[in-house]
Amino acid sequence: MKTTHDLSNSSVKIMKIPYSWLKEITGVQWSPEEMEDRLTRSGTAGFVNKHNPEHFKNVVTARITKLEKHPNADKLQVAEVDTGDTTFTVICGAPNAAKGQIVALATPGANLKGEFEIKEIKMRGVISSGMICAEDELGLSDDHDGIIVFDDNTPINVPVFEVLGLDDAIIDFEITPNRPDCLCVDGIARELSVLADKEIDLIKTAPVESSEKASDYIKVTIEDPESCPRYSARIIKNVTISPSPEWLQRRLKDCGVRPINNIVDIGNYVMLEMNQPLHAFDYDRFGSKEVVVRRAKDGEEFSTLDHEKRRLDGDILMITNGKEPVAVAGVMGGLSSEVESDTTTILLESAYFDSSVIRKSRNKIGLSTEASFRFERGIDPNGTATAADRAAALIAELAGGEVFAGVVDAYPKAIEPVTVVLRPERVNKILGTDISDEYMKKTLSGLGMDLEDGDILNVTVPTYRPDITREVDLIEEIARLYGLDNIENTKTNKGPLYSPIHRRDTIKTDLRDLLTGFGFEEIQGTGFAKPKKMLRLEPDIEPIKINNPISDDFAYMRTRILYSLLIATSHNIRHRNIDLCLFELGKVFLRTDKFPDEPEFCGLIMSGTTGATYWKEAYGEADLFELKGILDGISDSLGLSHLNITPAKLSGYDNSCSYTISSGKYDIGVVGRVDRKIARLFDLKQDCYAAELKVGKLIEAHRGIIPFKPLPKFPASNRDVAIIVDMQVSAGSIRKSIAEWGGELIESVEIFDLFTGGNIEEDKKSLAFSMQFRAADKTLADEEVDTVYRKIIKNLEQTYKARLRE
Amino acid sequence: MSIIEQLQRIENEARNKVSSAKSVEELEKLRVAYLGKKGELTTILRGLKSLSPEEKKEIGGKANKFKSEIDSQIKDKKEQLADNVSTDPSFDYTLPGRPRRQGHRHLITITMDEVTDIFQRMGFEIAAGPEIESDYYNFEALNFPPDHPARDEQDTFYTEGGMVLRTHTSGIQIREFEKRKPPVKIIAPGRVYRNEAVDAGHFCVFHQVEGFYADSDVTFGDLKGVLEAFCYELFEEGVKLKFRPSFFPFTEPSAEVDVQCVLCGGKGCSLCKYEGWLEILGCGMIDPEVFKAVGYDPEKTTGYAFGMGIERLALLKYRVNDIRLLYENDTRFIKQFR
Ligand SMILES: [Zn+2]
Repeated sequence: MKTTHDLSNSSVKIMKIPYSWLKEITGVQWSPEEMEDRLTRSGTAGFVNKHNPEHFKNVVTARITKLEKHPNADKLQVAEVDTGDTTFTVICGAPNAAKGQIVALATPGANLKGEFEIKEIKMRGVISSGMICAEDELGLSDDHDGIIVFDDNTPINVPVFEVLGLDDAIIDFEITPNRPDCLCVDGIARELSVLADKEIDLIKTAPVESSEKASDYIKVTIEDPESCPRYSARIIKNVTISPSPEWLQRRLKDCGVRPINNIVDIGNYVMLEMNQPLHAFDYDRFGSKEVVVRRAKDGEEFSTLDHEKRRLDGDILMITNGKEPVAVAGVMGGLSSEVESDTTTILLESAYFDSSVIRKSRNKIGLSTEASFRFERGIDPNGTATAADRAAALIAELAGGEVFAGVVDAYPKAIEPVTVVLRPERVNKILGTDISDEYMKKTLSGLGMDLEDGDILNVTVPTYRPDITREVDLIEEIARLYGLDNIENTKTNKGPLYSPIHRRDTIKTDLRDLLTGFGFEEIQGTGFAKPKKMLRLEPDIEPIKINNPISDDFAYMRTRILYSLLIATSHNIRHRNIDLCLFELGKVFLRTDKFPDEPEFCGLIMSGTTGATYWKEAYGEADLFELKGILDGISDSLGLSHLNITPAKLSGYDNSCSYTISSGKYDIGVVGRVDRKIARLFDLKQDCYAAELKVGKLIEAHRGIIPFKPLPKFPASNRDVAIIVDMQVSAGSIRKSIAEWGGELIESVEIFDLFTGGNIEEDKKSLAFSMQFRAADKTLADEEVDTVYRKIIKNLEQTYKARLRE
Repeated sequence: MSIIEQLQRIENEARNKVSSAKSVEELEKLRVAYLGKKGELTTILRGLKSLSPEEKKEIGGKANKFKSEIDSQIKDKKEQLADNVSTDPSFDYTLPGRPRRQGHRHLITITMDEVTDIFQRMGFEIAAGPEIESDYYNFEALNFPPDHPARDEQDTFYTEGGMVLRTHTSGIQIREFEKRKPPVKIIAPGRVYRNEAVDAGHFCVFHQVEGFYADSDVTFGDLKGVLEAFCYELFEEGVKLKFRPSFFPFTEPSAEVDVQCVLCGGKGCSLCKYEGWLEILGCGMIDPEVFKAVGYDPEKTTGYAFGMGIERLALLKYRVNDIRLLYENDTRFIKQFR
């Protein structure tokens, strides 16, 4: 499901359309805001952009009457600018400024973009009382190439806001991939027509044709009709290439398209109007009298308009002159037949290409264009001739051409509109509504569909709507125009009664509650890892590699959760957060033959001090025992049997301090001090203690329900013993022995003191144990306890060569 | 002065001194001084020998009464003093208590838990799936045909082995539908990946909760009802929603849902970019192609699906201005949320 995370994603096409254009075509009198709202609520998301008139206060047209070099600055000029009643002296740095130009002058009191106030200033000894503006300074575009220069016949002393028609709003439409028909003004107009319930006539001009027949000049052969179902061509003679008139340039600019010359601009204009990409060839440079549409040959080479030489192959569809390629079909034309300033005869292409073929072509040559984008999404196969007519008429009007008679139209197999069956009750069943048949019919015919009445409706869909092929597609049309907000919300809950919760999920909640209670902060790693670091940390596992990583830091998938813990520790210590207890619950990724294995881990790391500052006592330093205590807490809380740790060689941990953790027969993870060499790799100079627990094993190792144990009825007796033993004898083994020797009567053994130094020999240590004895059926007599106690002491002396400490 | 008078005097004196005593130590001295072996009372009582038996009896009775009364007065006073710690000059109640170091769940977890809790209470079961997914589950079965432009929306990471890092948790729909028969009512929370340029609003990793319900008679009205109830819980009861038709390959009709800006109440502010609305989730009726892919009969089964980005909700709710902060794991950031 798309989430709002991808608002800016690339394939949601932003279409800029001036409000005035939509109003002109439809006659719909809604305000820009109302248009935006109504269209958005019916699926054509729009955003109105308006210029703030306040930002253009005191910005007027004026003529440069004098231009001289600044006396004290090489790159600056001093201009005298006349508004008719006043002459302003203005310092100007623009290279394109010239005497006689009509420019946009901001005079003192102007507040450009609402952030830059124009005042009289002194610049290197010359007083400047205004500014000649470039487009970016007025917030019109990012263009700072030079100052804006108006047509010579533009009146002076007129607000620039007015001259530029900035009172017009521009609506940015976000067009989703399923609605190619809305990639043009006509498409949006059709939507407005249904919404406003107003019939509209879309512009369809046919050119006045000359007596010469186009078919005498050009022939079209389609060798691959699957890839190119239709190719329409027109010939226009005696054109004059020149800049387009102001109105056309303004419209293109408003739509975000850069004006080039009248022929190119007309092509773009008709594309914006009708969604039909057009291509104009210079007929005289075309090289033949025949258009042949075919697949490229493997290894064939071709230079596109952008001066790139491209290597072709059989996946790419080409327009050729029968001998050599002249264009990559639907993507870009070639240099050799490009329209240039001396072009007089135009071969105009208006074709329909298969969308997947174009997608493949543009992927292969790595070039996505406005045209390929539209072909890929699907244009109207039955609109090519209409668009060619419209463009030819405009060329005749604006470039003075002579249009030859007829469209040379290769359309071997006409693409017929599809008919879709709609059951009105199905609409209401899916939407949960009670929409009338009449409303459905009216809406669908408003969308240009032909209906054949009956219990079910046979709906014939116009070919500009390739997205509608199934009943559910029609249901969507009805829903969006009925208004999703008008569908009544169900107020009761539905669904299965049994929706279990899973230990897989709850154990994570339990671990988070527990660990935050122990003072650990939860982190979220990315799951990615930097190859060099990952392999140093875990040389024994080959990580899963990303083919297209955003950077080296994200090139592998992590094989150890310790990786992310170290990254986070490193970040924190770099920012002087040096006392850290962190944990993460997340997956690591391991290769297998098929789907990778993604075991879930609970990783913990401690560094620096582990407590919080307290005036009564100093806090502890992170060490193995701090972490063991946490692990014991986890084990107790999750219902595991007692944890044992066993020395083991583990990558990432110091050999002298690394252990596997087990609970009964379950191997639940590892713990130890992070290898100092590894730590340094992450810029860590202070010791870190870490543990990695397998969440799956923590679930498995759960002991299950343990029946209740009655509370003791008789009192316990306690005995303490302090012994001196050899340094290398482990406290854990002595404790275990005492528990064995104590037999049935011993209830618990705790180590309460460890002492070395003082009067104890260097290779010895003192250990103190506290033992508790109890019988289930009677109060133990002192003699009974003493008997066991003496046995323990004797065994300690014999087995561990222990000496009682006074 | 008669013995009785002496007794009376000592009694008055003792009572006064005990009641004005300031410390336990002082009281102990008073007890010794009056009632001890060498105390005043003992001294007085020594003089009894010279008296008649009647007098002895009378004075003896009075002395015992005095002894027990003073004794209990001292005890009471001691307890009173012991209760009143403030009399100890070294006691400073402004010193801080022993701090218990308290950790914090990550903001993503906090938000995720909040979202999943709401849906669990509505009867959705939690399901999970792999983060490294096949093209089939991430795209194809969800009606993204190969080479379809809709795939461009999902900037995808590919692994060496020809798998993808899932771009949404929607693949879990397919996996669960394959395993079960309707009714199926599930939420699928999890981490997803997108190969996008990283900036304040975008990161290559984020979290999603996908929800879906397939049954014999599920309607768009049901979908709206569930999402409305969800937003009432997450934001505020009565908060306004706007459903905008949109496009996702695996739902039809599809919609995006805006909630009225929680900060400005719809008037327009910087949080909502002066739109008055915040876009929070995508949804729709499950496309028949998806049901076909999992072997359900689309004539018999209808369903809805919805999805939302957890980071987006978290950023909106706490007005965090940079998504990257969520993955830096700076403890000064983590500790701010609970
Ligand atoms: Zn707002």
